[in-house]
Amino acid sequence: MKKIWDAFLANPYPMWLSAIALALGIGPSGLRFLWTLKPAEYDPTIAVLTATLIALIWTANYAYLVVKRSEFEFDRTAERELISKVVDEYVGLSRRRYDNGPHALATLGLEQLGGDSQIRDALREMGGSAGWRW
Amino acid sequence: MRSARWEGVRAGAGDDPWAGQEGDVRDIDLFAFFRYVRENRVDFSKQSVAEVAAAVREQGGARRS
Repeated sequence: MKKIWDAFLANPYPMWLSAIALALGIGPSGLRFLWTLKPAEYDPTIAVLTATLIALIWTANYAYLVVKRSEFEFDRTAERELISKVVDEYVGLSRRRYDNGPHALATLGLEQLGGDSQIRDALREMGGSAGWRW
Repeated sequence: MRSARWEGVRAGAGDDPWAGQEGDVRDIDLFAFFRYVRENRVDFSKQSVAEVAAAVREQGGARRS
């Protein structure tokens, strides 16, 4: 249940749809039921349809978030693989004494990693792989 | 505190990817930095990291905190 609630907080639009559905469906019929307090006069059709609609919206939203999460994890994995590749390349160059330092960094095409934080991660790993930290 | 010589020895050994010049790029967006390096075919045997960092900073490549 907490998962579904977290999913809602992450993507609030279905919550608005649910609120509207609730207001249009359960709201009036429920209020009439409470007002009259006569179960015989209560027509559950709208309430059931509304509840079904809300359940569908929640499910769709949850599925959407699951898909988004798996896409994000896929991207993260691809990013990690690219970082590892660049780090291996640098460490290989450095260990074989072909090249090292900024001169070697310039040959790696680090901008392919896509952003400052990814490049810093890669550099940290390069230093870490060779026993140096910054 | 390590001496400059020690840093130099370590850099020479290939341990430090910045060869002791990481302080010059601490405030630089490294994506902008390496894009500049590629676009301008920077040769670090002729130019220092500090010089390139200054050029990147001039072009608005400072890191957003």
